[in-house]
Amino acid sequence: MRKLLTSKWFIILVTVLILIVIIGVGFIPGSPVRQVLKPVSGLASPVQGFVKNVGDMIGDARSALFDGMAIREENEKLKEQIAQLQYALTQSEEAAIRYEELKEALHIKDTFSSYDVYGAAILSRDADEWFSVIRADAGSRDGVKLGSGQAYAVVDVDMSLVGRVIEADESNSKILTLMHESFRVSCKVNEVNGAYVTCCGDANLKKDGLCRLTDIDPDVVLEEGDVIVTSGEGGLFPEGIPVGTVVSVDYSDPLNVTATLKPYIDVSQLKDVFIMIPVADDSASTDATEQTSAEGGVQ
Amino acid sequence: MSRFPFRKVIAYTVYIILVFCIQVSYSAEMSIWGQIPDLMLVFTVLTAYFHGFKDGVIVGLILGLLRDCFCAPCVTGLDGQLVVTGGIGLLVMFLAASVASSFFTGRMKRNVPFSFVTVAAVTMMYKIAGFLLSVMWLSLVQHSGVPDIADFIVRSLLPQMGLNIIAAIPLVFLLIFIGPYKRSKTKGKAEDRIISGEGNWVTY
Repeated sequence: MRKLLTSKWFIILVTVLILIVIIGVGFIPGSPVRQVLKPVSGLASPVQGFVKNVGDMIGDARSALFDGMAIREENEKLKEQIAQLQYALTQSEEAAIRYEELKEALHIKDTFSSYDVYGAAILSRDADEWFSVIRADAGSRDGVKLGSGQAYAVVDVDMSLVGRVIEADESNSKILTLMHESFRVSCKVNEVNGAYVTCCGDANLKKDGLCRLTDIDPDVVLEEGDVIVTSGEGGLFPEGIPVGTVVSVDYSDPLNVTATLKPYIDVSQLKDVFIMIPVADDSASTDATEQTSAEGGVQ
Repeated sequence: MSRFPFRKVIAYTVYIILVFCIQVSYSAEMSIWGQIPDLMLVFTVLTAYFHGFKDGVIVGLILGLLRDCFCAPCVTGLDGQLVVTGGIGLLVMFLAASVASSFFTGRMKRNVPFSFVTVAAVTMMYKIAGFLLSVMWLSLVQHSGVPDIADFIVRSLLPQMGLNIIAAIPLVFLLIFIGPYKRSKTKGKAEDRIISGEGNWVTY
């Protein structure tokens, strides 16, 4: 018996069974497995942050030494760009004044006015194809609090869709990118009365940084270069976030027209992201406050 | 009374921190042909191969735990909700250590060239297992398209094996020449292992 208990293969078998049970329990909603992992994450995060900072400092120092010529050329180009942008800005200011006038007259709503946007730096990236969730340094203490079934849209500095927050602890949040097989978002072609499609991750396309478009109406003509934005259907993502452009369309099966989408984001180049959190309805909260104060008055 | 193995603990702690931090912080910079060398897996395999089951499993479980904390796989659950899993990293790393510690035992001699074969073999098992699981998951649960086998071999399996073998070169040097054991002690330990039945040990 003792020989059996100390046998290597017996230890392996028992450990594997225990780990399979842990994985199974992890699938149950509200499972304690993720809670158990949180302290480990809390301990390891500062160490990882420190090593990352040291690595970044070394990278910056190397850049400072070797990128001088490139920076000088880039500086010249940027100066030209600034001049062009100054001209565009002057024109935009006039357009903005005109827009504000029309906005009031036509009651146009700002697309993202009902969202708070929180900036976050990318802490860690996907380790490989399986382990493909990225972490950002914004958590519940920064206002990223996820309820059951909730998810927040994540965009990059150009306001292009990166993915969604699927889990948040006190200081970090985990983001599922739009290339992941489990990711789905309702989208539309960015034009007046644009066709609705579904953008989802695809295991075959992920390696090329592409996504799949499905649920395309066979009567709709999608073309290469069409711009796809979020449709706002389902309520998880606000309407109008740019997702990417259509690369190719497959009409071979009329009952299942699909297309390939090139997202605007490049996950490997991401350094900062922005998490869009819906603002609580002010009118509802005002009503609630009034009601509470009224009840207080009666008492 | 045996002395506390400071050298071993410190060496493993430093290696684990470095390997894990580089993996999760600079994966984009290490990416070649869309693949990232899996330093955590390679280090676990090499530790188990060179320093035995116990060392390999402990290192594997720690790295697996960190992997689960920092970049756990996310799957669509049976209820359609996205679930961040917990424990898959632990299982993968534990199995990798167990398999690697059993490679080239018995009649074969464990030496440095065979360590690269072990890394390639474990990587192949890991990738094929992942491919089969993703096929099952996609076809049974998500009812979506199944990845192409030829594409998987050419664009995922082979590049990953190549990258992991390249990544193994510095890690082999670290484990053999710097720590966690002095080289003389490793040879002594090897003889113990042969007696205790874990198979032959490193031959330099």
